[in-house]
Amino acid sequence: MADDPRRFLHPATIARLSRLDLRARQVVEGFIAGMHRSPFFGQSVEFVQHREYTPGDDIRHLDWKVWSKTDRFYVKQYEEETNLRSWLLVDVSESMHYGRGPLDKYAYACTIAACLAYLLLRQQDAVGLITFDDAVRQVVPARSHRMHLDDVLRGLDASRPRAKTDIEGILRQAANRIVSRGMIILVSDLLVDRAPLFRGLEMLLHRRHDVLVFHVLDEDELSFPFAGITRFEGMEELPHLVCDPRALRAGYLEALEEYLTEVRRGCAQREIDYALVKTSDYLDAVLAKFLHVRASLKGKVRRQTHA
Amino acid sequence: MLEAINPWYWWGLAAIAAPIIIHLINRLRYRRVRWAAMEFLLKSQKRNRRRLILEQLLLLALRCLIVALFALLVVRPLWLLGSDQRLAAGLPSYHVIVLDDSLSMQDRETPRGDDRTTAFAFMVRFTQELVAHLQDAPGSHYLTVLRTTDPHMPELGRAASQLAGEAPGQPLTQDTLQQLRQRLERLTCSYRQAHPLPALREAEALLAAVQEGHRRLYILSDFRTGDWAEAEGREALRVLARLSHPRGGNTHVFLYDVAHPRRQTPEPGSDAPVPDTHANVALVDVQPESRLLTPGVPVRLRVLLRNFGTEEKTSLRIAARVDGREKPEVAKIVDRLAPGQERSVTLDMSFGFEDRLGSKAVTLYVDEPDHLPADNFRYTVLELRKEIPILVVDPEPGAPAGDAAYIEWALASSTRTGVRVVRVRPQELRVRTDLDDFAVIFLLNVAGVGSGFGELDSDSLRALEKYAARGGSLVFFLGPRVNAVSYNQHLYRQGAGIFPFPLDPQPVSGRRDAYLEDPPDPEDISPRLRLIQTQHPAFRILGDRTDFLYFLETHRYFRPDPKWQPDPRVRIVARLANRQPLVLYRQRALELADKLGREGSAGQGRLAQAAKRIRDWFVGAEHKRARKGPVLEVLADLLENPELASYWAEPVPQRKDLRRDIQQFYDLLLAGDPIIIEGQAGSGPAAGTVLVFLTSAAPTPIQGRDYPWNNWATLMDPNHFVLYVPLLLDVQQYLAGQTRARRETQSDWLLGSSARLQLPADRFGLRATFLELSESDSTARQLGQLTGHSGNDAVTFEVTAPDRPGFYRLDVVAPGGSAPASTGQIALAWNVRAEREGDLKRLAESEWRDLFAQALEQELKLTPDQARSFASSRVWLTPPGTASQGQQVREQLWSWSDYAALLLVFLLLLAAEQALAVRLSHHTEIGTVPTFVTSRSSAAG
Repeated sequence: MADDPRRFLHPATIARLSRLDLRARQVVEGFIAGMHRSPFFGQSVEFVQHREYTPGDDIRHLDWKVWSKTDRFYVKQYEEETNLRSWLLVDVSESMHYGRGPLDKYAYACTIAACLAYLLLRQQDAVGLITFDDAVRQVVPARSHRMHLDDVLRGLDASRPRAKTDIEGILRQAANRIVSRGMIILVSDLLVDRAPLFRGLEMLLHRRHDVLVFHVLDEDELSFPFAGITRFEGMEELPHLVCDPRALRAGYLEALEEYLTEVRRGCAQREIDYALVKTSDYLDAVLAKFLHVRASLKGKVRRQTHA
Repeated sequence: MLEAINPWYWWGLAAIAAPIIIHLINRLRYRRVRWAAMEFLLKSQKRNRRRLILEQLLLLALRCLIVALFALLVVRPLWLLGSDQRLAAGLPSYHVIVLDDSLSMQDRETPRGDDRTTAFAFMVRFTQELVAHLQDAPGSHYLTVLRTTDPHMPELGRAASQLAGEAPGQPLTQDTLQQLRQRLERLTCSYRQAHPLPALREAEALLAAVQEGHRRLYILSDFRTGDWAEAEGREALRVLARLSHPRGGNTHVFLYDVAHPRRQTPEPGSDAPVPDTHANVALVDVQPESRLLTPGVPVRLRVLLRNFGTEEKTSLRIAARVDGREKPEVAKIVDRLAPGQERSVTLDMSFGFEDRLGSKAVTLYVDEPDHLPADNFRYTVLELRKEIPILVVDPEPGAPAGDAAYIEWALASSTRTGVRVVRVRPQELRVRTDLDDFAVIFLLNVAGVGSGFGELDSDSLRALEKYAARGGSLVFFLGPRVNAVSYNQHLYRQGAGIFPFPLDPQPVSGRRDAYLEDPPDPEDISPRLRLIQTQHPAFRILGDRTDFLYFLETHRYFRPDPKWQPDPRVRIVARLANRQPLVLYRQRALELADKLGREGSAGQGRLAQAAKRIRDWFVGAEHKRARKGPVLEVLADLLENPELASYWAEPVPQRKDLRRDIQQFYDLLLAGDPIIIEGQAGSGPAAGTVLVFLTSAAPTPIQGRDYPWNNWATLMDPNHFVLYVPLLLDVQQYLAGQTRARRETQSDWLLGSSARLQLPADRFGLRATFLELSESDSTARQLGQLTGHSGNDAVTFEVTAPDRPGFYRLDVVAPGGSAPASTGQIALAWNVRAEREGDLKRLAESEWRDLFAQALEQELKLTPDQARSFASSRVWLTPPGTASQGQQVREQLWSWSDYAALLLVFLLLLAAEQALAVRLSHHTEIGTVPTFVTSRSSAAG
């Protein structure tokens, strides 16, 4: 275990890091270090112009050749190329705050978002963030510079979560707000009615976005391991239920399976990339999925980005 | 409705609420989980709602039912019982307690323990506890307490014969308890042998009188093997079988073994260890060879000693006390006595001239501490007289070398023999009124009955017959004057006379003589006389000195009539050797020799050798007269040689036949004429013993011959030991004892049987006092007055057996008055029945089960399996616990078996509850959980 490069990707390890940026760094660096070959190439920046140095500029960017010829300080300016605009749509509603493992769904979703933001920013893609519960809570516009990570991470903070009621409306707002085409990554437990969900997703697709869904569920929600008389208190304004969970487990799993099938099938039909992740899963699975989708989009999206 | 056996457990029904309360508490004590995926949970609940509620309700109902059923099983309301039990529950219980107070219950815990450590004392304490616990049981109780020694006189309650249709027992109240306690405290263990059978029969009769109610029988005993394994025991077991089985008396039978060491608590049906048995040595019997003795003449006491224990006993000292004083010279040490061994020990006891005359209280005892001391003692009564008068009747009483002279010489040559001889002629008998004073009358060479010389006249004969009818002993020696025809006609009188058998009046055809003649044959080297009754006390000397038998010549003798059918009261004591000529047997001998030769040629050389020796001896048999010695030797060797034992033992039919032939031929060659016969003078109940010597008393010379009738009286060995003197002294002592025994009836009795004394009416009156004698100081304690019955010239007293062994006396008044009779003090001794009660071996659990099962099979026609299961489940030997017996009684009283069906339902419900609970608890494996499921848009590829 000590030599396992994936050890930093385990949810328990990540939970020990309180700061989200550190988490993101550890996950991503750990993930890349574990790869044999870098998947990033052709991502160079193009030189644009020289500009006279003003104090405060990074002296690393001084063009010493120009100085030797002209004895003036010029700074090289590059235009950082943003070849992908990605939007992270993170569900921070009340239901996301369930979890008995090291990370609850919310923390896990935030970690996913942070990791993806870090990864994208690292390769100079633009990352924007929309968090929502009953309505859109935070919007962080898409930027590609590295300091933008802090903005994104701040945006993930969610105090006093509320129930999400109208997923369709939220997705519509997102679609309206995100004008330029890009990649939309939805991180949510999708505990909503399916019809509005798919209508919302279709709206995004209609705007010609690429949509990637990370369906985050807790282990408990998938296996329902409870025993003994339990009072289940519904989050997001759902009713309470006192029952013997063992007696209901079979029915629960059956209903869950139906739901998962419906979600999976709905996504597949709409050519939405869909991944079900458990809060106990290693995070590299998420990243691998993302890179897989990202690689398949590479040509298509770069062509579409402006010069 | 609410009537029940344990009504105070009704509150148990409230426990029905328990499952409901537990359910409610569980509903209240839930965990809280804030749950996001309520959608699926609600959906699941909606789908399963009806089924779940049904199942939960069913389980709850089941649990409530189980609790309710359990409560009912404990409460036992009457309506739940079968009709029989419903009837029985309200009915009273009738208890019969049988207490074993036989001698063996005196068994002590330690050899030196006192009376408080006996099994009996323990039983008494246990009975008190048992009865006290009976009070705890519900319902009304009636109690009867019996003892095995006297079952018809209950300690509590009435005997079956006095019930007159009423139910048995006394109601169990505080007063009854008090009364019983007092009686039990006074109760002592008897010295008697008592079998439980009469008590069980009484108990059966008592319980049969119970119309409606519970019947309970408690047997408190030591359960000795001897009591149960024999015929009487089997009968007792059959009574128990009848009583205990529901098909019979339907009685709960409790068997408590109170003997020490206590039994291990048995598992019903299993083999409990065999209980230990205490060691015990007992004097089983004492037989004096004569009870009538004179100073200086030793009497031999035959003591039967038995080791009932399981270990060998060494250095056992048997000692004697006479009138309370030790007689150390009599004591004898028995080196070793193996377990179970019975040994006869002879003690010689004699009294000096200084000893007080009269009855002697003789106590013999084993000087050894013992668990059961009572059977170490044996009491007997002897009578010491100054002298014993003997009457000798001889036609020529004064003849110097006549029969009477020889007899007197043998019996009274020394004053130390204690015999006084009076010689008379036959005719003088009628004038003698003192015949009864003589212990023995010798009739020597009396011619017959008539008026001629040497004959008895009819009055004399009558006097003699009267003497014999009263138990007097007679000795006949025959001789040249004897008229066989007269003997047969008057003295034998078809068995009614004093002579016990008829004589052969003409044994040799063609000759008038009634006697047989056997001239001496010096070449014959075989014994001349064979003792048939080898243990006869009067002829011990012949058994001890077998060398004399080769020289005891009997040349003339009489023979019983061959047509006479021997009477069971008559026994042949001794026979002469077979005096038939050897040649008579030649044919048969040669046939046997041929057979032996054939067998011998088949391999057994010894047979061939024997055949040759037989053939050789019969060569010239005409000249060998009656000499059969060598043939007898050969045949005896064939029959008894240990080397041939295995040969005969083989199961080959021819060999068996051959051996039978040899035995028959041997017996034939030995079968000589009888020479000494013992019989009885007539057929009266007290008829005296008659001993007949079929030859003369003296070595009567024979005219014209150089040999006498016999040489018995003159025979002596090189040490001048004369056979005749001890022989006749033994005969006299034996017969004197017989006379006393017949006349004054038995003096030693066994406890438990009453004594019946028949005394001559001319000397004893009808009133008597029964006294107990103290052994040490001869003081007497009066026990009661008796009245006798007269009839048949005799007075009869029935003396009820006393309670304790020891010495007793019956003082009888003189006839017609109140003055004591001259010889009116009759000493008696009572002893314990040691041969039965001394055996302390106890029944093993398995033996009990086998015996009881057999009894069940026989009595109730059960199959062996049914019998065994009943025997091992219902009636078994129980060690008495210290405090739990009342509990046990209660448990039996409320036997679960009456509720078998209900119990079955209860168990089924329990099983159903478990099955349902397991099903409802959803102990399924946590598997098939959907794991990381992904899907990929196909268009993206």
